[in-house]
Amino acid sequence: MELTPVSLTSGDIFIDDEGWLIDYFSPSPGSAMSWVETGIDNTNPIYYGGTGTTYYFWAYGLNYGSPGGVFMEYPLGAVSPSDISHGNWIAFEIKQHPKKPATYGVTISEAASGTPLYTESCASCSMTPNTILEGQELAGSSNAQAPLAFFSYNSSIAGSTTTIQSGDGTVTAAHPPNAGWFPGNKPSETSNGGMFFTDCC
Amino acid sequence: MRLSSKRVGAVIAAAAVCFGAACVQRSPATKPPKPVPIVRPPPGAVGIAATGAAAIAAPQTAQPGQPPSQITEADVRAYVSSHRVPGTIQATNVRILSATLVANQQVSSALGTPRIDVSDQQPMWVVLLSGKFTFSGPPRASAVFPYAVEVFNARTGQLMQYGGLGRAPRITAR
Repeated sequence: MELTPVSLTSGDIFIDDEGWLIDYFSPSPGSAMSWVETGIDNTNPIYYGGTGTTYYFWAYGLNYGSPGGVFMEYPLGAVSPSDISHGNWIAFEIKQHPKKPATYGVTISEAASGTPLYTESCASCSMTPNTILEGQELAGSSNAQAPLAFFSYNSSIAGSTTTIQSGDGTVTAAHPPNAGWFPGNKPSETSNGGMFFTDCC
Repeated sequence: MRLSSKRVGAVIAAAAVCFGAACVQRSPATKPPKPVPIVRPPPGAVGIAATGAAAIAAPQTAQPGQPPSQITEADVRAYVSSHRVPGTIQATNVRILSATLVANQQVSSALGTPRIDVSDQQPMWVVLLSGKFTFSGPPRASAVFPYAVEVFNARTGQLMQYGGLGRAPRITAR
């Protein structure tokens, strides 16, 4: 997917715009779940009286809910103010390694040029992903803010094949945060995977 | 204060919950920018090193001829004691078990987690906490961790990694 990064204001916990590649309870219901995620985040380092900064991140959950489960997040670096002010498209890719099935690479890059910003990997993220999710996540009770962010070229990758999203999937919105397909820009109405938006609050 | 986690999303599935009275749907008035086809980085291309997120104030620059300045164990413990573990929506019975200075290459092996994208020799403070830690995750994700960890760049004070662990790691000072 590609995303127009915005300046997020965390409120008292965090707010983010991101995408997840998720293994929901495979091989069977009751199994633990695992995932890899990446996007932009503002987790308030001060929580009370501060606003934090908006930064790129990646994170993963492995065997989440089981005794040996793990959740880890890696803040990578601040989002460039010029990317925000110019509405530049930034691409986020989570991709399984072609020869090492337990390894997932995370690449954040400038969508138009292919210039990489961050290239990360999880070598022990063994999972069988069955769901792709994108949108905004809000945690906290007050003062979070997020201008309109747009998501496009929403795609899935299987092996060396990239397939642009053509189905409209399922949309939920909590109001706040607000979200939806931009009018006239559902995946089924476009050839670029649709135009999803989020904002808050 | 009630803390909650909400998500909105699309593509396949998402769950979301609305608390409170201000649940009003809005439509965007801003025209979106024109999307651009994604150009993939060339194979083998590497991004920049991670700098993390702002956390502890950086130490003063060392005088010429002196070793590089680092944040101290007291700095780290004071910060962690006075701030919520990042990303937690609930944390109770929190206690600092250890604050250990290690080289970056030891962080991933000690914690069993992916490498932080800085040089192997970069000194890092690894803070291990015990308690009950609930992190936000995708819809339907539910877990309470008995351990949490925060990793700080010792030279800059930036937060480089944090999260929850199901089992206690073994961390040895370098």
